[in-house]
Amino acid sequence: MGYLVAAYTVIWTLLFIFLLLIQRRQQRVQSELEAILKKIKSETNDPDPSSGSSQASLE
Amino acid sequence: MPTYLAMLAAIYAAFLYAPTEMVMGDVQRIFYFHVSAAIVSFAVFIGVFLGGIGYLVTRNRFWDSLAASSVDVGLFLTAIVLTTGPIWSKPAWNVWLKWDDPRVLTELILLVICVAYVILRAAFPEGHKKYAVCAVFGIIGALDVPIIYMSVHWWNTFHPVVITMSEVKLDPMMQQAGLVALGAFLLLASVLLLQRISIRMHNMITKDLLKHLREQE
Repeated sequence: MGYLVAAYTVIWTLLFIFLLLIQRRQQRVQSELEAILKKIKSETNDPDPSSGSSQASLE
Repeated sequence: MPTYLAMLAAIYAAFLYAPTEMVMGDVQRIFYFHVSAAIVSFAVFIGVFLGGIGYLVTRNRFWDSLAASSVDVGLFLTAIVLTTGPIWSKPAWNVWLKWDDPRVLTELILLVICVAYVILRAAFPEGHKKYAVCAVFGIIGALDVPIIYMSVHWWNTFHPVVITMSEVKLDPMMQQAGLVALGAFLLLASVLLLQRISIRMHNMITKDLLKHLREQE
């Protein structure tokens, strides 16, 4: 029984680690996106970078 | 949500639905996740192969993302196979690992290929050269999968051959439990793969945007 528990513990641990790595990468992409938004904001002095004016400046 | 339900169904099938194996006892229940992870990892490596070919032919970054993400998921599944295998092998055959067993050896080579792919990817700067080298490496690495499958037929092996293309030597209830676990692993691997591809594509777009913004300054 101990081996069975050990095997399934390993499986769930590996899955947890994999999900954790995915979450960390997702956070990194999110922070990069926020950095881009901040940059656009500071360049255009636009309080809402997702509005039309900053989009136009990007184009 | 369907993935959670599928995994719960797989746990139910493996622990409660499937009958206890007469010789090995409860430890045989490792089989359901061990074999499912192995079969799904083989399927995932088709993604590595197709992604590599797709990138070399089209130079479209999507194919590179597909191959790299497939390696990530494949590495995870191969790690499951190679850790649950010895844990099952010890009580069943009184040995942790037989290094000279062709199935174990070829599976281990696959794990090393995955790790080498990840290191190779990290070592190169972004650009066509990196994606092309990784594509070629991935294609060569994926060729290990048919060798793993055929290893038990080509060489003398300690590894039991329960499932072949033509027959499954299992009790019908065990077969059904195995199919549920296989379905759950297929779903899990698909979700993880799509998630990794999505993050890679978003990462690629943000990097391109940042580069574009820096060039404008």
